[in-house]
Amino acid sequence: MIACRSLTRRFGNHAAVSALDLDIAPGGICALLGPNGAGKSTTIRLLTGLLEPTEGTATVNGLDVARHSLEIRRIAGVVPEHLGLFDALTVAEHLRLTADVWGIDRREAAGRATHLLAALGLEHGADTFAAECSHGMRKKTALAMALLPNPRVLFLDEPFEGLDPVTSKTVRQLFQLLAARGVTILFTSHILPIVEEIASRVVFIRGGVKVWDSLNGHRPASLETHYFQLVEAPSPQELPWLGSGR
Amino acid sequence: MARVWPVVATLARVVLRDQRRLQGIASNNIFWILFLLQGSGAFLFVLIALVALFPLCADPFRKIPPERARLWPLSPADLRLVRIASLAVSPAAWIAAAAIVITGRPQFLLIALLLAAFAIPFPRAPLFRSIPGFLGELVRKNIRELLSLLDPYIAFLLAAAAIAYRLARPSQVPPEALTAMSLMVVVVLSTCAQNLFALDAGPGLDRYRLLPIPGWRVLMAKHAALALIAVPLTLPLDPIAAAAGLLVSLGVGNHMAVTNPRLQPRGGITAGSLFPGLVQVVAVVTAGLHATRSDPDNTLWILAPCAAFYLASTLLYGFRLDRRSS
Repeated sequence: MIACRSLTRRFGNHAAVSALDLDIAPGGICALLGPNGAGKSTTIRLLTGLLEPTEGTATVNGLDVARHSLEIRRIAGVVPEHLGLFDALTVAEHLRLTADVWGIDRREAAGRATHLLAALGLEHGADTFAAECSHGMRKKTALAMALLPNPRVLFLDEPFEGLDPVTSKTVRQLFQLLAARGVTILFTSHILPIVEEIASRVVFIRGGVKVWDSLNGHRPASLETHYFQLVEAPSPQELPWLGSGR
Repeated sequence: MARVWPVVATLARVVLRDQRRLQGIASNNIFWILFLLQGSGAFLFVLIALVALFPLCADPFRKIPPERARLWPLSPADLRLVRIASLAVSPAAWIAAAAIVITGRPQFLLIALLLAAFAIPFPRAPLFRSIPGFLGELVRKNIRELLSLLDPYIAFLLAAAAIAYRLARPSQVPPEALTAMSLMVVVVLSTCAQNLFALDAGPGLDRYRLLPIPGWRVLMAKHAALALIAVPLTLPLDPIAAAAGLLVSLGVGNHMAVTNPRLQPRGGITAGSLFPGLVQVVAVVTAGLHATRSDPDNTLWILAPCAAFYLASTLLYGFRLDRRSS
C-alpha cells in the first residue's frame, strides 16, 4: 500500500530524510518512532505530497506520490503536523467543508459527522471556532476531518498528542477496527505504550535514517528499553550548574 | 466545479467574519474624536478607511491554511479556479462593484483585482531588531504586537499629514494646530493603553504570570512600547503636550487594562470601553492643553504631576496585576 525507495529530502546540506526504504502492506498499522527532529514529520509530508523528495520515489496504493498526488489525496486521510485548520471556522463547519470538497452527499456527510463528533467527544464543541478550541479539540477536529471521507490510507502526525485518555482509547480502537477492514495507517508518536498496543510494525528513524525496523529485527520485550538503547540521551552530569544554587 | 464551490463559499464566510475586526471602532477613542469633530472629522473617516481597506482586502486565497489546500482532492485546474473566484469574495471587489455602479467607470474593477491579488494580510513587523535593557525583549514583543493593530497606522497617517502640512506651509500653521494634531495622535493610540493585554491570548498572559518580575514592570514594558511609537510621531508636532497627554492616557488606561483584559484580533482596530475612553480623552486633552499653554520655563512642573499620576497608577495597577496573577 505504501512504498518508499531511497526516499531522500535535503534542506540545504542537511538531510532530513536519507535513503528511506519502507513497505507497508494494506491493513498494516505502522508507527514511525524517533526523537524530535529525526525526520518523522518530513517523511509524512513527503508521502502526502506536502514536500517533494530530493531523491527517491514513494508510492501509495501503487500511485507515484510525485505524479499522482491528486488521486492519492482522494483516498488518503491526513492529520498534518500543524493541523491546517481555519481559525474562523467552527468544528462542524470544518467537517461540512471536508464533506463538500470530497464530494460526499450532504445527508451521508451529516450522519458521518454526527458519528465522528460523538466518537471523539466533540458534540458539545461542534460550534466552537477553531481559534477558540483547546489543543486537544483542534487535534480531534483534524482527526475527524481525516476520517470523514472514509479513507483507504491514513497518514497521522502525532495523532494521540493532546488527546484525553478516553478519546485516545476510542481512537486506538478505531484504528484497530480500520486496519482490520484493510485501511493502512502510518503514524508518528512519542507515546510508546500506545505504539506497543496498536502498531503491527514499528520503524525507528534517527537523523533521517532508518535505524531499526520491527519487520527485520526481533520485536523487543520492551519498546521503551529498546528506544533508549537506540537514542543516546544526554547525561544530566553535563549540566553541573543546574541545582547548584547559583 | 462541485468541489470548488464549497471552498469559495468557505472563503467568503471567512472573509465576512474577518470584517468583525473593525467592530472595535465603535468602542475606540477615535469614536469620541469623530463625535466631537462632527462634520469636520470627515478627513479622519477617510484615513481610517484607507488604513482599514488594505488588510481587509488581503487576498482571500491566503486565508486557506497552506497544508490544508494541498491535502484537498483538487486538481491544479480546480485550484486555479478557486484562485480566480477568491478574488470575487474580496471586499475590494465589492467596493469596486459599488464604485462602478456609482461612477460608471469599469477601471475600478482592475484596481480592485490588483488590490485583492497583492494586498498582504498584515505585515509582520521586523522592526526593532533588539532593544537594550532588562525588559528589551518584552518591549520589542509589545511593539510588534501593537504594529499588528490598525491604531498605530491611523496615528502615523495623522502625524504624517500634519508634518507634511507643516513643512509645506510653515507660515500658515498656528502652534495650536500642532498641539491639536499631537493630542489627536495620542488619543488615537490611547485605546491601546486601555487594552494592553489585547493580543496576549491565554498563553501570553500565562507567560507573564511565570515571569519573575513585578506587575508594574510588565505594565511599564507595555507602556514603553506605546511610547516608542507615540514619541517619534509627535516629536515634530507638540512633544510637550503629547508627553503630558500620553502620561495621563497610560495612567487612566491601566484601570481597564488590568481589571478587564479583553482579547483582540490582529489586524483590527483596538476595542476599548466607551466611558473609560471618554475619561481618557478628557484627561489627555486637559493635560495636553494645560502643558502647552503654560510658561515654557515651567514645562517640567507641568509634566511632573502627569508623571506622578502615571507612576502612582502603574504601581497601583502593577500590584493589582500581581494579585490577579496569584
